[in-house]
Amino acid sequence: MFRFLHAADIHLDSPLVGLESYEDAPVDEIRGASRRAFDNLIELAIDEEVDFLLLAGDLYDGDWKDYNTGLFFVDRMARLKRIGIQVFIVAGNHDAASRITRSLRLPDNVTSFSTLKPETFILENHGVAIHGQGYHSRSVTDDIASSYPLYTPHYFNIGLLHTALTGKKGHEPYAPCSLETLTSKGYDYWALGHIHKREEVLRDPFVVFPGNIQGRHIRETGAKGATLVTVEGGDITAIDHRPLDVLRWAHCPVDLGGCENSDDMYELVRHSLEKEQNLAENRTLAVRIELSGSSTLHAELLAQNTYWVQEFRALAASLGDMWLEKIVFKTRRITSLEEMTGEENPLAGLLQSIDGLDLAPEMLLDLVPEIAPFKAKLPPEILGGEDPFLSDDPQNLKRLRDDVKELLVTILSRREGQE
Amino acid sequence: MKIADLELKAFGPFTDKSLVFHSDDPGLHIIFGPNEAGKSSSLRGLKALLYGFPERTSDNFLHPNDQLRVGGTLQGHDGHELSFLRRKKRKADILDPQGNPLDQGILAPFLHNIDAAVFDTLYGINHDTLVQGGEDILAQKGEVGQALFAAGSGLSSLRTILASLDAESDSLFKPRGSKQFINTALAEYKRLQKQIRETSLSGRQWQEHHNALQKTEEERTEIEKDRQLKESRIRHLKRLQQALPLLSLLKKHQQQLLSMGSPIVLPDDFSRRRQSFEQEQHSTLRQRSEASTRQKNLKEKHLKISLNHTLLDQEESIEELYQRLGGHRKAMNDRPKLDGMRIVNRTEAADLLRQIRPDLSLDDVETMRSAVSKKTMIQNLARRYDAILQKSRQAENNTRQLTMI
Repeated sequence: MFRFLHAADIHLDSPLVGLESYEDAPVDEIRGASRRAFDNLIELAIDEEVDFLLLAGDLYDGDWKDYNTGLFFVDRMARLKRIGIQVFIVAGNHDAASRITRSLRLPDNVTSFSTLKPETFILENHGVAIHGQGYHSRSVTDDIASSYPLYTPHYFNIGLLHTALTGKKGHEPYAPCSLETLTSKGYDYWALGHIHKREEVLRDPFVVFPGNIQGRHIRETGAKGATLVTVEGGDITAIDHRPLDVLRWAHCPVDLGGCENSDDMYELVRHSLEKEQNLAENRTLAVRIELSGSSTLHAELLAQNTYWVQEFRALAASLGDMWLEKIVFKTRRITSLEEMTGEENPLAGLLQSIDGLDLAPEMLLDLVPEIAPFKAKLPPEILGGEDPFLSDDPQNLKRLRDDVKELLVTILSRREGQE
Repeated sequence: MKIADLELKAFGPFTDKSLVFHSDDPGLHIIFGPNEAGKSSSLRGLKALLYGFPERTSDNFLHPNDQLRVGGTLQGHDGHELSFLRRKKRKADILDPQGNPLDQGILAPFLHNIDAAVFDTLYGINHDTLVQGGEDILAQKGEVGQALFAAGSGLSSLRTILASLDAESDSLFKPRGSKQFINTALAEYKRLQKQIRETSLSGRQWQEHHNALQKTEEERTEIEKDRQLKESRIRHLKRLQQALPLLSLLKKHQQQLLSMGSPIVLPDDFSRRRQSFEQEQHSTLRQRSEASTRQKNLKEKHLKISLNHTLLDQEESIEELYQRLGGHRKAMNDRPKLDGMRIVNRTEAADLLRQIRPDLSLDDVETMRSAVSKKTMIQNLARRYDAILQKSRQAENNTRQLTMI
């Protein structure tokens, strides 16, 4: 009997992104989260007395240059060495891009696979053959799995590979390969990496993405960890997913459709947050509240936006160990602005003229020349990335237009309250 | 929607006041009255009927909150009419004319989704708003479009709104500003990025530090070795330094020794022996001095002595006489005793002689000398006599015995 631990996409010291900062936010709890999660992995390997550890790529963030990260990794590998746990690593796309990887010297219990051709390492004492190949460059678009050797007879065969398989949404299509290619090799376990969400793609043979060990933004929600595999007599008898994350990301949609008043809304939000907190098993939570649905509260939320953001942050602080990543207001009017204002009045005319505006970037610049110096000041991280600011994506433009309409109508209707 | 009537049953200054707008033809209704007649109150009453009483109202000075009532009849596009009452309550505030609660949504077909704010803006214009609008037109001087929009939408202060939007925008961002919200955030972002760059350690940097460390450690080892050598040298020299006075002393002694040539080595007990010899010498000297004193004395005595040579010539006879003197003295001592014994013996001899030869005197005894020479024969004869006597007696006995027989 032997056991091994399969983890991937460690992304050591990768920052947790997208958290809005505010006074009561639990800043200290998230510091060094990826390191603490990695320490959890090391602890698990030691506590469970595993025989070896597989790391299926992306130890570091490609654009992360701090060498301390590499030294931290070496230190933890040395710890495993003292216990006598071997480690097998294939480089992922991030590692190939990383400057840390190039100059780091690892202890001798760590085996890195070649990045030029598939290699096989044999563990005679357990009867295990591990096949693998790392990335030599940032983007590997060849099907490197197809050149992996066929299984070694009378051994338990493991394939270590950093791949997107046939492509996954939100992930670069690196080292593409089909499940047929993988199954045709006759291996017992394919230890994959690259996809940050855990998935048992196949059970015969096992093709497993363990997911990353610590979520880094709101698109990486839920439990994150590693896969513990037990092999008895050449057969896999147990496969456990063990959570290792220290900070849990949760998306918390709240439909305000049935809410009569703001008290109802508050209760509903509180209930949803408590539910997420229970699921997180005492971990610090980073929550995105997304208020949606057609509601009479729409105008209230829009008009008193700052007030309600404060209220919900205070609520999160009172629940403890919770960071509101962001509060997204996606509620809709029960009826559209156009329908409400009717046809023959100045507000309707305003709305129509907003609809008539061309918001394409260059036209927008004509309309609001101040945007040019504003954009010039913004860092590339805001202008680019997953959610670029002022992109000309039609959906984004529609949202912008709707926001403008809502804002104007709200301000123009607020007259009474101001006086 | 048309308003058929508005009943201000208990609202503001009104009690059971009814405004009826029944008319066969559609048309414009004007409600007029002097100041403080209740025109604005009527408008508030209409709003309360359509959208409910606000949480706080100033129209409860005559009727308490729970007594406030407005009623009315609405007519929809399709001619459908609805009569209802509104009371001040959070929920179920719409009642039918008999006082039974009605569904909240019952007004929706009449209101066409116009909410209270829009109603205010578009339909609930009061005198103040109109005055404000007029002033705005004058103030904006030629911005006729804005002014007309404001007037048309019932806005009194589009100018203020635009100004406040501009102010908000300015407080958010100015291209050359530094205190605006976004400007500060951007500055902070840059600062943090710089901090990240400064605090992160590049592989090259690490390698450089690592190499430098190794080099320095090698150097240290070298220096350490050197130091050890030097320290042992120091220890050696220190020992030498300590020995230096002794060495010079040794040299001095050695020279002294050389200058002394080959010396006699005295035995270990020399000192003791010397002492005893000295003592001996001392006592001998004393004895000598005594002896010489005595010799002197004796010499003096000797000089004083005058020798008697006559006597000295008789030394042999004196010596002989001296030796004989002892016998003489003894004999002189013994003479009286021997004289005594001679007298006793003479007496005794005289006695014996008288027994034997009473005729002779002692002076004549020498004449008997011959008889003494016959002494043995006499003694033999004596012994023979005894034996014959013995035999005679024996024979007498035998004779007697035989006679008897």
